[in-house]
Amino acid sequence: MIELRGVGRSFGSRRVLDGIDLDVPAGQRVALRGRSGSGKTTLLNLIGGLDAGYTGEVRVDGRELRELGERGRARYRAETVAFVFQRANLIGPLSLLDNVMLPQLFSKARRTGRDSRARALEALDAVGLTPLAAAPAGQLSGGEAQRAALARALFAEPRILLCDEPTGSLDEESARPVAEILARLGSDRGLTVIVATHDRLISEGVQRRLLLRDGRLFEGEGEGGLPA
Amino acid sequence: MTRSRFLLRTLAADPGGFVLLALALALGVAALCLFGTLGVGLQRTLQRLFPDSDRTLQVVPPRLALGGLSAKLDDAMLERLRAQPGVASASPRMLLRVPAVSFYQGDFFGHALNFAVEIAAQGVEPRLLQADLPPGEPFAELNGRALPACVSDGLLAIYNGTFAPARGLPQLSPKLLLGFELPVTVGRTFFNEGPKASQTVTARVVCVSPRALLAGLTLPLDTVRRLNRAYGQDADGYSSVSLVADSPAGLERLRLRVADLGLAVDDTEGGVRALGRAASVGAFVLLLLGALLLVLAVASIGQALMLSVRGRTAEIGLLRALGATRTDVAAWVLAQALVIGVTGGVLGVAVASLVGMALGGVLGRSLTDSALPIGGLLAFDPSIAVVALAAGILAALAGAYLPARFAARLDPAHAMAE
Repeated sequence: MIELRGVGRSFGSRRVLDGIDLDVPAGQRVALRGRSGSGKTTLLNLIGGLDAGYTGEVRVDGRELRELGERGRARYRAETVAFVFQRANLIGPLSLLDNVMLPQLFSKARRTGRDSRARALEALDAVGLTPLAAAPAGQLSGGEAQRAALARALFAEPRILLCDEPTGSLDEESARPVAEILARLGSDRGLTVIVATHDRLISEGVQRRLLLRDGRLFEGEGEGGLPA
Repeated sequence: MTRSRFLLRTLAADPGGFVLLALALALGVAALCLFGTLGVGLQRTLQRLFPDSDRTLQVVPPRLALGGLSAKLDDAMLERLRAQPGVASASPRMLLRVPAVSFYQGDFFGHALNFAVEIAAQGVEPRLLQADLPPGEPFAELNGRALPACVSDGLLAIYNGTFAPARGLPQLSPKLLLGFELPVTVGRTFFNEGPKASQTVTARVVCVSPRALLAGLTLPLDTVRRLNRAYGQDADGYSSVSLVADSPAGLERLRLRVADLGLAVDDTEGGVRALGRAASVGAFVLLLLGALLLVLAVASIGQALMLSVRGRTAEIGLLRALGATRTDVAAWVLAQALVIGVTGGVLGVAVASLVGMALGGVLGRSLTDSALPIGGLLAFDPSIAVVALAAGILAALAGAYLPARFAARLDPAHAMAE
């Protein structure tokens, strides 16, 4: 359960988020829309524990993220939440399999090498990239790289998946499988998914749509929607 | 995927950069190791050749006697010297004032050898050579036994470097030389007999010491005194007295007191010591050069890692998003420096020991007549190698400090946007 109460975030004199209230029950898939610069990434960063410079409260499963402290938030990012960004941010010299297993570097969960490898292959299978497991990540196409980023997120077995324009840099043909996988994973695995997107395909696969405008959050897609 | 594997893959992503940084560091470590070895080697050699040289005066009788009055360096004067404040010890030396020669004919370590050589000799108190004598070996003339004699290790070096190769004779170690006996005829020169009948004694080498006379034999003081007396020479006046001060700081005060007693100071060794000090200063300057190279390596590593960190901002943001703490990120950067440091350090030490060996060999061959063990000055010294290696690793970590701090302080949210 994600709860935001009166959340505000400013950068200098610019107020990006202003008094955001939001409840996202566990397992819900949410699309977050808004113009560029409307604060979608900022909101995801707050929920993901990457940014603690907010006012108000951001609670996940009852824990206020700012109060977790630097180390607590790092652990939260390692164990509870996973990100997929607009750019896949794969580490080129590493193989695809190694990239998928990267979250293991910072996880407290002890697993044997074989367990990790099996789980990474399972995650690659879920996004249809098993045949490329040994390939250097730098050789993947944009669509493949974004699916690999999804596999990396799944490997960490998060409860919350935060996606920031996951198809933003892909053409429609490459974006379609990413959107399909995202919709399927959310429903199959019971993940709470929040996707900041302009992609109609992704918006169609979610249960709830939100709009960010002028630092305020609205339910629905139109500007006349009710505050969330 | 483990952290060490991730680290190695990170370094392998830019092999050229890694090799360049390791080489830059290796250069500094090699210079530090080589020049450090040279400096320490010089210090040790000087200390061995001139033990306590920084607090020892060689006191000799005055060269000019004014109005026939001259301070004599005899037992009475020796006691006065010993009684001076700030004196730790006073060791007299007496030269054999009678000509002596050795006519050697026989087996010389497996080679038939005939030679005749004039012998110079000095007498010293046994305690001066105590540290160099084998345990239980008396340094005194005993009835029915050969005369105990010590030879200089410098003389042995000259023999091994020049004499032995020229004559096809075997190389000798100090241990091998112990027990070697040669006849010494006292009271005659190479060409003729002296006014008194000569006598032949057997001298037996019982120690090899840096305190022994460089070109001659060092015998018990009482023996030399007896021989000088037997041939009507001065048997009371010492040729010199080694005066050791309590501390180096007290040496100059002691020099003034010696002058007050009407005695002179032989600065021949002082000149050599000054030369040694100059060589040490030279080695120290070279050591500073090595340190400077290391500082340059620190700057190179710092700059390269900073560039690397700036180029990997998004990667660092990703690691933070995956759960890395600031400490994890800093450790990741420092670990890269550690690998560079260990690689460069080991390489530098290896290069230094190879260069040291090669230079030592060349110097050893070209300066064979030197009493100094020049070749050994650059011999591999494990303790210096460890210090140089540690300095290299510390330098790499120091270079990585700012980049690591920068990386750790990156705001993950902003880093992801880069």
